[in-house]
Amino acid sequence: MLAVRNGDQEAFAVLVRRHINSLYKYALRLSRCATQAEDLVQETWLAVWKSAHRFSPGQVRLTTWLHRILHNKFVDAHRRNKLVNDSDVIDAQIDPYRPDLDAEQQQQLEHLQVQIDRLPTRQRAALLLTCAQGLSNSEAAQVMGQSRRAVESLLARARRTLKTSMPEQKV
Amino acid sequence: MSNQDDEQNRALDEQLGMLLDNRALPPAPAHLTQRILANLPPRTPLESIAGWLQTSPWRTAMAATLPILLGFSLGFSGYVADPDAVNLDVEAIVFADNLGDYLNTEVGDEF
Repeated sequence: MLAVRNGDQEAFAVLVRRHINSLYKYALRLSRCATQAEDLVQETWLAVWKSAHRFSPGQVRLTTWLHRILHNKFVDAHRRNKLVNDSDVIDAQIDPYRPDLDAEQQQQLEHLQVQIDRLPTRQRAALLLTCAQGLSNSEAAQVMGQSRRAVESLLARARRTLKTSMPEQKV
Repeated sequence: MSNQDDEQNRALDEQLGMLLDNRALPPAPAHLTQRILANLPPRTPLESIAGWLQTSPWRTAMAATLPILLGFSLGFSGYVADPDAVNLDVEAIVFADNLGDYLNTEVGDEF
């Protein structure tokens, strides 16, 4: 990262290759569209290149910082209505098809995916950051610019919504 | 918390684990990395300087000290002896002489 601050393009390329998959997957889940995910990721890396000097290693982890930039880009784009709405087409790339599951389990997953897509953006983001991206609640709070308690509250609400919408389990 | 709640929580965790497993998603397309690297704008001189300065604390400290050092060097390099300095010496002697006279004057003599 120090080399990137000094304008080292080789170091930047290494950084991009190391983190691009994680960022792309988060962008894909947030925007639910491959094209928009690519645009978000590209804008994120452009911002990283331009403002590398703002990164303070002692205060925040690099992964968290990168997710934060991407998250802000998403929120900005969402505000400008550049991204698809909840009712719009969801990209097939995040279709929860799992060949190893039986039809019933497959159906449950599809139902859950629909419910996650219907969650309010902040609840969905909190859920994705912690469950899919593997960030801690504190790190998710840093990404979203919220307090840890606020994120915990968002997660609790998201889980409650998902739980109530779950079909009766056959256990 | 009831048993039903426990079961629901467990089922939800299990399903979320399967659904939000990032390994199931495709990796970023190769052309995206190329696109990002090909479209990097050149850094402006100001951005380069800012980046260089903030890389380590000693660079920031050096940058802050540099104007002071420059001021000292300019100040000392332009030093010339003040021609009025001699006059000051003379004035000091005259002042001391007058002061001596004043101190030797008895009270009431001044009138």
